[in-house]
Formats: sequence, structure tokens, C-alpha cells
Amino acid sequence: MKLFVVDDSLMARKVIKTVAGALGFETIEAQDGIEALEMLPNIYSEISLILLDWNMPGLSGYDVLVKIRENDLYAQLPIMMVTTEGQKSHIVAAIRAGANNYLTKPFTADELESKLMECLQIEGDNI
Amino acid sequence: MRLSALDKLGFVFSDVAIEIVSTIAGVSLATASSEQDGSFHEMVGAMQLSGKNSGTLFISAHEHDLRVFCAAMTGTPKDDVSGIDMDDALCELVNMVAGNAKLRLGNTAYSFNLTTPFLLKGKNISLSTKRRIPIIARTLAGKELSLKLKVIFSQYP
Repeated sequence: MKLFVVDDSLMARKVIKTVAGALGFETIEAQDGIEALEMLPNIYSEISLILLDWNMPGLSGYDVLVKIRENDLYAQLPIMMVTTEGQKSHIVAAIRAGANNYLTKPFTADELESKLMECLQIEGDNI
Repeated sequence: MRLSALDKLGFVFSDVAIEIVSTIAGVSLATASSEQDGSFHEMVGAMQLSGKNSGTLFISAHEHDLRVFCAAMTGTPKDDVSGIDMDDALCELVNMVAGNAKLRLGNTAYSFNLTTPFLLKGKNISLSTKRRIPIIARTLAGKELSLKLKVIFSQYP
């Protein structure tokens, strides 16, 4: 299974890659929303989940989420928002715009694992 | 009243920073000093806090300490940590501290929105402000890492 990690922070991508790699996931990375939207037509068929950072320069994660959901081609692609801002209003706005789940920064490896499993509806070692 | 508000703000930002460093790097910090001091370590991450009451958050660290922090964060050897890693980690730390402090201050006179974090580097960098703009300053220190955290707001209701 492949995860598409969209985050302007190199270290955040490294941490997610390390944790996801230990769980058996491969990762594809984009360093901002514009790059993610450019890459998506070529990779959407091979990815199982998008992890989308909220606070990015240029296009915010929320803007990217809205643009992705405007395209029917990506309708079934699960998206997990990753955000430093855990307000209810933020989370509700993301869910209404089509996000399937959210993860608040900072997170531990266990929290990331748990959210990945929840998003992908995976149980045990079934990756 | 004013001192109390400053103390509360200082507590919010330092408490959030301590919690975040512990969560992402497993490094324990405690507040070592809360003097109104404008000095920084040589690497400074910063973010404008925009809102009715705008402000700026600064977090600074020594390069050596930042290397330890990055290594702990990613589980890689210290020697494999690059300059880009350290720059990015400091900006990401500022981003997380601001985001989590925003949540705690959401319903107060100090509510703000996040902007893009940025970095300043150099020796002997220090912060000075206009009269009536006190610097909220905390030194957060542990065995492996020392951070200088500073916050200024344009108004103190």
C-alpha cells in the first residue's frame, strides 16, 4: 500500500515515512499543495491514502482538499488532514469539504499508526 | 493584572513547547528562566501571529542542540542530520507551538491566526521592542536541549 504525504515540512515527511515504513507502507511525497495537485493525475491509481498538511504556503491543505474533491476521479480516495490546529470548527470544515479523517500535530508513532489503520480500515497485520 | 496576563501567556506558550518537544522527540524540558531577556541562540525560528492583537513567536536553539533534536525526532544518527533538516525542524517546531497555543488561546483577547514560519540565523541576535511592549521570555532547558522562547504582542488588554 502506498501513502501520498503532502507536507511542506521535510522533517514531518521524514517522520511519517519512517513510521509508515515500519508498518509496511510505501510513501510518495509532495512538498506543497501545488506539487501534489500536479502529481495526483499520475499516481492516484496506486495510492491508498493522502495525508494532507493543513498549514502550507501557497495553497493551504484545505484548498487542496477542496480541489481534489471537485474531481470525480478522486472521489473514492481517502484523505486524512494533518493539522497543528485541532479546533472543532477546523475539523468540521475539513470533514464537510470531504476529508475522511484528521490527525493533530504533534503526534506519536502510535497515534499515527492508529489513524492510518482507522482510515484504511485495516486490522492487525493485514497491510 | 498586566503581569498576570503576561505570566499566563508565558505559561501557555512554554507549556505547549515542552509538551510538543516531549511528544515528537522524547526530550524532557522544563522552564529554567523567565527573565525578560532579548537574547537568542544562533538559530531562530519565528512566526507572525496575525489577528486583532497581532504578535510574533520566536524559538531559538544552538545548532548542536538542534542536531540532537532532529536525530531524536527521526531516529537517525546525529551525523546524518543536515543543515536543511535543522532549518526545517525549527520551523516545524514553531508551527506546532503556534498551532497548539492558538487552540488554547482561541477564546481570549490573544486569539490569532497562523502564518508561514521563517528562520533567522546569526551570532549575537537579540530582540528589542518599543516601550510598553514587554517581551515574554522563557528559557526551556533539559539535559540534551535548550530553547529560548519569546513572544511579543502588539497590545496587552
